[in-house]
Amino acid sequence: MKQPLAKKTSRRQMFKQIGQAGLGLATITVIGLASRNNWLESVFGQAPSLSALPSFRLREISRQAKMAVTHQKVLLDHQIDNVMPWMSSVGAAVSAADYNNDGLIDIFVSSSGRNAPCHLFRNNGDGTFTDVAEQAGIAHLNQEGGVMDAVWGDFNNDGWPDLYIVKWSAPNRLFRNNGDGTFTDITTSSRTGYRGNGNAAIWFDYNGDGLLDLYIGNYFRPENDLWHLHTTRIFHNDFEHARNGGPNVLYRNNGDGTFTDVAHELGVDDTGWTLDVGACDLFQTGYMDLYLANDFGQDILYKNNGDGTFTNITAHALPIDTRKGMSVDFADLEGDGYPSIYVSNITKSGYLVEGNFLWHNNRDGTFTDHAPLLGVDKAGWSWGAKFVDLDNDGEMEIIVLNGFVSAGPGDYWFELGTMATTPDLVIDDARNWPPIGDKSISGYEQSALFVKQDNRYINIAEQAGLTDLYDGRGLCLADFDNDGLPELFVANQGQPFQLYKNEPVQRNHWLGLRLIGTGRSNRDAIGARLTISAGGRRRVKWVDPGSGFASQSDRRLIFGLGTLTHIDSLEIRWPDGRRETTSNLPIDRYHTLKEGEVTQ
Amino acid sequence: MRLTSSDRKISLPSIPSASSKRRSRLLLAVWLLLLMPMLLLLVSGVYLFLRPRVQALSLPRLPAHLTESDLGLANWHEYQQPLPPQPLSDPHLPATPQVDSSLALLEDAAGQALLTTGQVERGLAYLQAAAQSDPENLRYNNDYRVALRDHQRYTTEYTYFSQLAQHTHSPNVLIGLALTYVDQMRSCPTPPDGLVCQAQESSRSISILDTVLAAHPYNVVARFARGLNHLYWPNLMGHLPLAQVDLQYAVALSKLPSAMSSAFAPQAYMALGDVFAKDGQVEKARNVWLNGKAVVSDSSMLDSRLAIATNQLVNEENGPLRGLGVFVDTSLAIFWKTGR
Repeated sequence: MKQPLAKKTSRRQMFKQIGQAGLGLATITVIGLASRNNWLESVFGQAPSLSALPSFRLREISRQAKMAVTHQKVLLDHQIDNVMPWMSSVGAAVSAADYNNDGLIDIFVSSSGRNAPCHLFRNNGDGTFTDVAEQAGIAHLNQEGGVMDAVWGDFNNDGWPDLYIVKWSAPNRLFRNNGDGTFTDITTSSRTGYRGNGNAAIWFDYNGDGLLDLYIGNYFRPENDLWHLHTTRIFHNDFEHARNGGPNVLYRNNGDGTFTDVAHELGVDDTGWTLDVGACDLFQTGYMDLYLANDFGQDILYKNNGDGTFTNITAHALPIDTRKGMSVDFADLEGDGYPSIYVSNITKSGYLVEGNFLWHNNRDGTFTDHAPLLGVDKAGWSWGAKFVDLDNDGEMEIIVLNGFVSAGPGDYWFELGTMATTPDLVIDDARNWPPIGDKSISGYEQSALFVKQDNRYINIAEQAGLTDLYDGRGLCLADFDNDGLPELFVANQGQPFQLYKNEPVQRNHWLGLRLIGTGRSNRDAIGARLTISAGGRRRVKWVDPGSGFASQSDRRLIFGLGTLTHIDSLEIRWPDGRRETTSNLPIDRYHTLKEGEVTQ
Repeated sequence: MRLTSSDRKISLPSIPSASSKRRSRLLLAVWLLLLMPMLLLLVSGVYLFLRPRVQALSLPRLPAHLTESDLGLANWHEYQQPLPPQPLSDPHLPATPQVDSSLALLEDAAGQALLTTGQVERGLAYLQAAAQSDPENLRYNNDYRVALRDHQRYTTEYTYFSQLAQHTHSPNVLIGLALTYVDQMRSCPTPPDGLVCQAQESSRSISILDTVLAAHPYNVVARFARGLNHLYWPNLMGHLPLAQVDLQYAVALSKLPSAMSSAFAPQAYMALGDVFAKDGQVEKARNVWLNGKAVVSDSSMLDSRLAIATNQLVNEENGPLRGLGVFVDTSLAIFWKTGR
């Protein structure tokens, strides 16, 4: 039955009014509730805008690249089975170099388990790699002890990168590159077979004689053969001030194919629990200073005096540090030629929130931690951490690999925390540690990818596709396809290695440089400082000696130029002090620059 | 006269038919259906705004007839004696510190006065004499300990109290030693460094207070000190529930009629609320503080807690509110001082 129109309209209006009143009432109630519970702030509070962030994606391509292999862990003396997951938590290392001088970056990748082969992935130049370790003679390095790190360096300046292998409980190995795709083990003749329990090594010319020397960071004491223990008292004796680690080694290159350990003589035989070693000219002296990332206590800074000696300036330069240093890397974030230092430590909410360091170089011989200020302190149980400009916009990103032991659902942190905070417990004895069993310890942690936004950094790992939950260790940044964009090779502990292709949406301009030292400079030009002026801004980089936990990145340098189409100048300060400048370098390509032939 | 249908519509009174009655009922039902949720919303909104904001706390039941000694408050009145106003010019003050219980209050006052004039060594000597004259006296022990702490004499502090504890196992002496360990935390590296160092000192403090509370479970000073110790630990180390128990006791004990200073109650409520805040239970935290306000209405420290936005309370583990590395003021004067 039809209703009169007027009546119908008035009812509609009434319903509408009731509806509106109800809506209003509901809104008021919801707002009331929200204001009581601060939902509004939490919803609309401070969500970061992603619009201004660099737009790139990282795509995992290890299978396509034919590099899909898995790291094998060490299995040590059964007396310490209760802590075996802890003990076997390192060894996944990766080191990049063009070992065959074909213009393509190759990589050595470790495995650590007994008789597990290591890998030398030769870059085929077509997006794939071939494991040639067997033919090269550097595959079988785990018959005794276990491989922990590897670093390339042309110690004899013959133009072919040689390879040094750091091992636990067996002599380290030095392989000379024969220039024909094979290597010769010259450990004995070179006297570089230190038998310790090291985790790090770098090649650098500490005394300016043009020859690369070798610094080795050691962890457990050398008298402890971890496969045949005479004692279970092998651990650090303090969680914050341990100084009972293996002494570090500095092999001076004698220039005749032999080396001499001068660490004790020069006072750089630090007995902190060194996990990584880095070197860079921190004070614009022209000499490379040493930074030791030490576990369970104070990191150490040795200033290079320029006369073949060092001074331990830690007490003056750094605040007291009781953290768990794992990795060290350098970058000039301000274009002033004074590098800042990024050091990874541990962050575990609810247990131990130390935070990573970003040591701002105060230019007066001291450093201040700016990591909390910049938002790059909290990442996880952090390992390999590197500065990198992934999209060549001229701003450094920071990548941090995280995760200690990813195992069962149980969490060892409570036992670890209880042990660490129990006074007077003899913690250096492995038998006093609660059994770990199948428990995880900061497991399944995602990596962090910090990008700069205004005056802070934010973590965009998820958005960028860096989403795996493996226990990352060594992080290698290398431009495998020579497109001016570094890829990421991640050595995961006991897990598949990964190769991330870097795919920015916006292709910025860049300039790539490979240096060859001559005269009194080492041929790899390690330590050379490059300063580019472009668009009214200075950018400074150094040729790196292999800084970064269990890793060595592409030694070539890439300067991101953003939208700039040319540089105004490039100045090179070579390791021997010579300065050369040039300005006429086409961009968006690599240049090989030889010392003495640069200045126009 | 015949009526047309249109005339009928105009002139006849409207008599509801059965179908129109059904329509009316239907309309009413629709109305009610529409109005009910709105009424419910209105009622719930009104309830939310008008409901009681303070809910009673769950506190442990205390035995009847607890004595002041049970609470650790024996001789409390002595602690509340005012200090002599001009101790340094008092003719009874010995030229050199004397271990004499009749001079203890004067020497305590003199020690504090000397410290304010920068005469640290003399000041500490008088304070030590006062403490030694009555090792059981919480006040003199406290004044000496806090002075040592404030002058970073942590080793002296530890030596004095550990030696005292070797001879005397009274609760007050042990409490002094336990707090010495808390003071030692200040000698650890600056957080977030030195967290293990701090935690180990806290562990030592807690184990001594465990001993005290095993024998004297209602000692309010020990309860509060142990509760605070637990409160500062990282959340996942499992100390928060222990802190909650101790601080619930502290609040319950603060409500007993005693000689205790009214300055303590807000501290107890604040700390108990902080337990919940640190655990992310924001409403419970606020409820505790509101309970405290009901007891001590003019407490500025509770006001300041209540002024913190709830979203800022959620993750306080690493923040300044009982966060890792925040140093505790171990002075026990809050138990006997006047004012809030």
